[in-house]
Amino acid sequence: MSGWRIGVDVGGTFTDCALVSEGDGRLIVHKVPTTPEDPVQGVLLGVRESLDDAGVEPGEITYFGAGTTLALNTVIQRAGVDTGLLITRGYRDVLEIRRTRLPDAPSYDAARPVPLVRRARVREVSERMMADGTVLRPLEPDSVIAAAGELVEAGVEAIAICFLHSYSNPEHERRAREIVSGQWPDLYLCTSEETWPQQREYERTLIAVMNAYTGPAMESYYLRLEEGLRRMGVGCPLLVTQSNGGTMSVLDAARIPVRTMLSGPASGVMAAVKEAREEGMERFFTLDMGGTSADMAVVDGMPRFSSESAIGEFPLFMPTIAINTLGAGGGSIAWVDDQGVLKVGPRSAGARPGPACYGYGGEEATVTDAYLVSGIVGPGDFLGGKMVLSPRLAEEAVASLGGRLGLAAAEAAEAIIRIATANMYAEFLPMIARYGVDHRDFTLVPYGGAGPTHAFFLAEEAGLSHLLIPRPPGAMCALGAALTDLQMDFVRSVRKNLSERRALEEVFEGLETEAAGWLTAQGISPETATLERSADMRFEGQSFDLTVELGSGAASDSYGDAFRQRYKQVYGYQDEGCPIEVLQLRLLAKVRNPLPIPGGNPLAAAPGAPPQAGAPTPVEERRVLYRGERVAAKVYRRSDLLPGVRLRGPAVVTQYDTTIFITPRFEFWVDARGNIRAEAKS
Amino acid sequence: MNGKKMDPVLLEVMRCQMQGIVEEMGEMMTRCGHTVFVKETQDFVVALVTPEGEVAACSQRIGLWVAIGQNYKAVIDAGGPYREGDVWFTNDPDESRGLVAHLPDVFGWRPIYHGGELICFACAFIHCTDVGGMVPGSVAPSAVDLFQEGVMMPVTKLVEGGEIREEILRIFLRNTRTPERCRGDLLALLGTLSRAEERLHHLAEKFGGGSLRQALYEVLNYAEEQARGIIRDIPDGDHEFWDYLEGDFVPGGRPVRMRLNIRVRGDELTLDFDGTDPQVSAAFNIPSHGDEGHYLLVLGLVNYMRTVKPDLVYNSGLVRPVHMSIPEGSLLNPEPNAPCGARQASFFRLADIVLGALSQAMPDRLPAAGCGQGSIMLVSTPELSTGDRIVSIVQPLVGGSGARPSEDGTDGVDFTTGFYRNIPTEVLESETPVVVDTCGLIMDSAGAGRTRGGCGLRYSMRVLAPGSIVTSRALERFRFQPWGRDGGAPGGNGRNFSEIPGEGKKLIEKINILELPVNGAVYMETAGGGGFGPPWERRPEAVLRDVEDGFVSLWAAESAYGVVLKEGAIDEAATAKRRRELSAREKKAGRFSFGPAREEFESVWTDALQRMVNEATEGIPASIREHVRGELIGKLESGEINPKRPDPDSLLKALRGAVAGILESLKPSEYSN
Repeated sequence: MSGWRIGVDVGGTFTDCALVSEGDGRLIVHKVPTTPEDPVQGVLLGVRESLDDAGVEPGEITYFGAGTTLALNTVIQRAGVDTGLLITRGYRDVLEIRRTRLPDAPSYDAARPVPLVRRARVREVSERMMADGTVLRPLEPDSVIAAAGELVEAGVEAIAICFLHSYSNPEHERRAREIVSGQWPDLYLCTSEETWPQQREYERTLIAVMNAYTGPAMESYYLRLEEGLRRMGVGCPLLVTQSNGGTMSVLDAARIPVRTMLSGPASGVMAAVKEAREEGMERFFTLDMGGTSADMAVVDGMPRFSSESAIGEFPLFMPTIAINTLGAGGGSIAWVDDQGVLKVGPRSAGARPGPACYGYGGEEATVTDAYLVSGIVGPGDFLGGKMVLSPRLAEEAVASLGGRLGLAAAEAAEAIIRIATANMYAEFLPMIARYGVDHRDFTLVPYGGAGPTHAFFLAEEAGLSHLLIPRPPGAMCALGAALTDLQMDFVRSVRKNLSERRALEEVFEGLETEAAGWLTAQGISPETATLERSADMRFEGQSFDLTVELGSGAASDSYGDAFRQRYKQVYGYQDEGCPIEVLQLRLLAKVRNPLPIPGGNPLAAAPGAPPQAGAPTPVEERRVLYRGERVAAKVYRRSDLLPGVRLRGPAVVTQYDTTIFITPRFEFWVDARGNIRAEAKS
Repeated sequence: MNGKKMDPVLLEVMRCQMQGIVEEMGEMMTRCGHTVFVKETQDFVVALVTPEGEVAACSQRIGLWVAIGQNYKAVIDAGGPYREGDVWFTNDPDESRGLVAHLPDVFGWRPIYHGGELICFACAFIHCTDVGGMVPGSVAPSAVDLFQEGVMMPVTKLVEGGEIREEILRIFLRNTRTPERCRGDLLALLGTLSRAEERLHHLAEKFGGGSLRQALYEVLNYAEEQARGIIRDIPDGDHEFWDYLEGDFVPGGRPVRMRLNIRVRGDELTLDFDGTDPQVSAAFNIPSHGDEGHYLLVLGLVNYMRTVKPDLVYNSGLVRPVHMSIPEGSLLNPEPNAPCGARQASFFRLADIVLGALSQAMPDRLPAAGCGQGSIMLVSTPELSTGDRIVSIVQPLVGGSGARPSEDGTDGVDFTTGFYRNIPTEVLESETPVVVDTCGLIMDSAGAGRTRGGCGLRYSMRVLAPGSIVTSRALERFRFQPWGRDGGAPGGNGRNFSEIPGEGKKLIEKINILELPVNGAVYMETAGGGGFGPPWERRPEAVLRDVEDGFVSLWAAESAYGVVLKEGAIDEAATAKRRRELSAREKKAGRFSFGPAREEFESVWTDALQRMVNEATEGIPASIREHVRGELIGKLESGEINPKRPDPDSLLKALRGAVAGILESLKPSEYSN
């Protein structure tokens, strides 16, 4: 019997559900408002309604993946619990001092950084490890009891424990944890070694602190959600999406919620990976463009990972799918500076008042207003016509901006789109430099509300000739949650010369043992998993390393070759004689989610309808501004475009959650799975 | 170049893309760099420069914020003829006419052509950890001339048609203590410049070489207009201010004064440094060569521009409306070959001076003084297993910032030096045989005020290997405190201690070269920032919170802030009483509170007297002037000349007479019977 998979994504405004049939690949997307006071209620309601829509019983659910931005929002909104920190003597100020560099210095108005744990809640403990893991000063249990006792007295609900060099020897952290939990069993506790055992005291402490800060609420959320689903009759285990694009068990998520911090965007990228892979596509950029920003990820066979993400002002050096902000979103505001130069962003009109055309009182022109004035988006395109946009308000806002530039409204609208695109391209350049990819043979995969609207402009600017617009551009995170793999990262800081092959091999084997233990605990036989090795390497003396994928083979000469090749690819040169140093060894344990996604057009009224050969009927024709001229663009409903259709731009395709504008240079068609594909024609 | 202006939308499009290129250059430099200066503290600049030598685009996210006002004209003229694929380099302060401001900064520039036409130069400098000279790291405050500070490469072609001239590179690397690391850094620099060329070619193909070149000029005009707008908003007038280097390594050990008058007239201004002390035979001179808008002299002004207009177009157009008048032979415009290794002490102080001057024009907009120091602490120590000597940066030592009119300062980091990243203890200890016992903030170090300054930093390190040497260049604010504003107290001073096994902990002077035995430790404390407004006007809840967090002691809460705490809560009645007493006792506060050390110094050494001493010794060659001036000051200190004469003319006359006498005494005299 084939069942159904469900993916859920709890965002700030909406909770999205994606229900996917394991039989015929049908996809049902459902949105309900998020219930911030208790997000579990929103999820349960969304699940209930999606199941009713599809006529599916809870017992038919075979896979449940849940993603949420709750932990992220808790940190950004500073809404976590009163948290304490136990730290090595002499390091009370590790959170205050950070890495010193001020983000907006040298401005005299530079914001005062405010740590998540105030100084009064940080207590020093007598102990000290050395870098090689030897004990310089033994842990004094009394100092742990005294320090934790004061924090409990002060009312903390969670404590993070971080001692110097615990990545090298976690013994003191573990003992301190035992001591505290023995005395106060109800306290939420975590050590820096269990959250992410990597060298650099500030960054590691911060991860442990974010984990403790969000821990109690996340633990309660996951456990209650699991309970609610069980009551509803869902029999399969609950899995939780992680920032690395994989999933983990609900118990892991409750223990280390910091791993979910950037899971939303990661999950969207994974949905794109699954969709594009099915089409045989290995190299692409995802473009997730919503109201406030446009974000891009690079997939080159595998999505690129980053260990340098940020949560607001805080660095996060755990592996996450690398998401790069390219700049403006649909709500970004256009303005004219004192010198009469047009700028777009970074200020955004947000959801309220939103773009002028929303009619909620916004008066400033936004990118969305420019779409409307230039005719790309029609007044009735949004949310299937449920939200009517005002061309008059858009025109007024854009015209008033144009007045300051000596431009008519139409010219100003085009200029806004051009500047927004130039901003994105300016960020795109250093990004591709970081990854060392030749972008010309990459496909662009746009999603989010504005991604498919803007994507063809960016493709033209950046010289990208191929695009793929996935089926549900507005619910990719939920779709990703339904489709991703179970996976877990393991890391060890080593700092060795690459020639110390035996020692490296031993560390890798240690990581593999650790991974096997974890898999067994998940009830999975380790043989069914793939273990992928990678290492962070650099030329001796450098500070930034490159993560090089090493497959699963034992340490050999190929490690060095792989690094040199990668270095040359990224930076255009390499230093032949220079020795190579290894900083971190990493292991990714992965259990492929074995779902095949069969063909058929899931958006078509009747699943399995025969491919349509003839031209679909456009619903109207629009005069769209493109490079200074009005061009006639036919407008299609996406649900009318069945597999096999082949058309040429200029054209507009509307669907519930986005509008796609195909520029005149592109030909497009619908593939067997319902994705829109496009290719530039000279 | 035709006179027609570019379509502003196209210009903005191209500006974004040029910015993308320099950000990519910065990213690449930090990732490929080999020395801590480049990769961790990001002591480098990347830029696109017009054929005339003006910086048209530079990284805003990565690297130092000192590119504005870097003038490449002299080095471009000194190099050449240029061909595609060449890179020239130099670290010569004099031939570069002040572009190079100390020897570790190695500048490289690569001409970019399109269709045979020169479009611009891709440029970068990096701070090399060591370029030879008398101490590891090449920067010794006590150096008396440029030749003690290391190897100098005059303007030289390093890469020809894409090939490195190894014979040139060898000369340079043979003269450093860290040849492999420096080589790695130089390769990173060269790689970065070729990457820039690739991107610029792409841009030129897309928009045309002519348009690209025109865009470079127009973004400069664009920034210039923005700067003029900002200056126009500053009230016209003359705004004077001065401050001091503490001069510990200067012969005579006296404070060295930098004096500034900012003359604002409409949309232009002049930085007039008249009254600044003569150059010194210690490494604090800034070899500006009198260059208009010199980058190390405009730092505070550019900070101000970035404060009032955060989205500023960031290039040298900003300093076009800035004129300068810098006395020749002064600290800020020395004769050739003056030592300049530790000149960051001077330019960080100068940024404070610009701040002080502007504060008089815009009192409600600007903060009190911060720690005003960006000292780089280095350790040179043998590696325990191999015995190889490592020169490693330990930490950039910065302190608290000044308080703002309506917000507290930042703890442990100052605005002007806010680009430094610190070195994690875990990284340092795994590379170097040292133990860092403490890295924390100092209680009561911040200047009290309605808003308080940022706290200073305490850093203590123990060495494990024999023969370890610690240096820390450009330590300041050990004597004259960071000033407070409008009744706010000045910040606490910096201090050093050493702890030798068996001898205990003792206060020591500023560090030049400190040798430590095994298990010897050094404690470095940096200054806190000045406060703003009377401390007894600070919200009592904010004081209570600072006490709970350990930034302010119970004692200071009561004595400085007038907040009386009882069992962790504010005693309202006692607080009101105490605050009335404090405000009654205080005489009317001036714009600045400098603290007792400076007030005492200036009670003798008035502005007028200091100016007169300089005036009386004017025109004497630098090498002799320092001696003459020292003797003259001696006469004033000993009372041989009475500094308190009521009539200034007669005092100047007396000083001139004394100078003539000192000069006379230097002449060979005949032996007489």
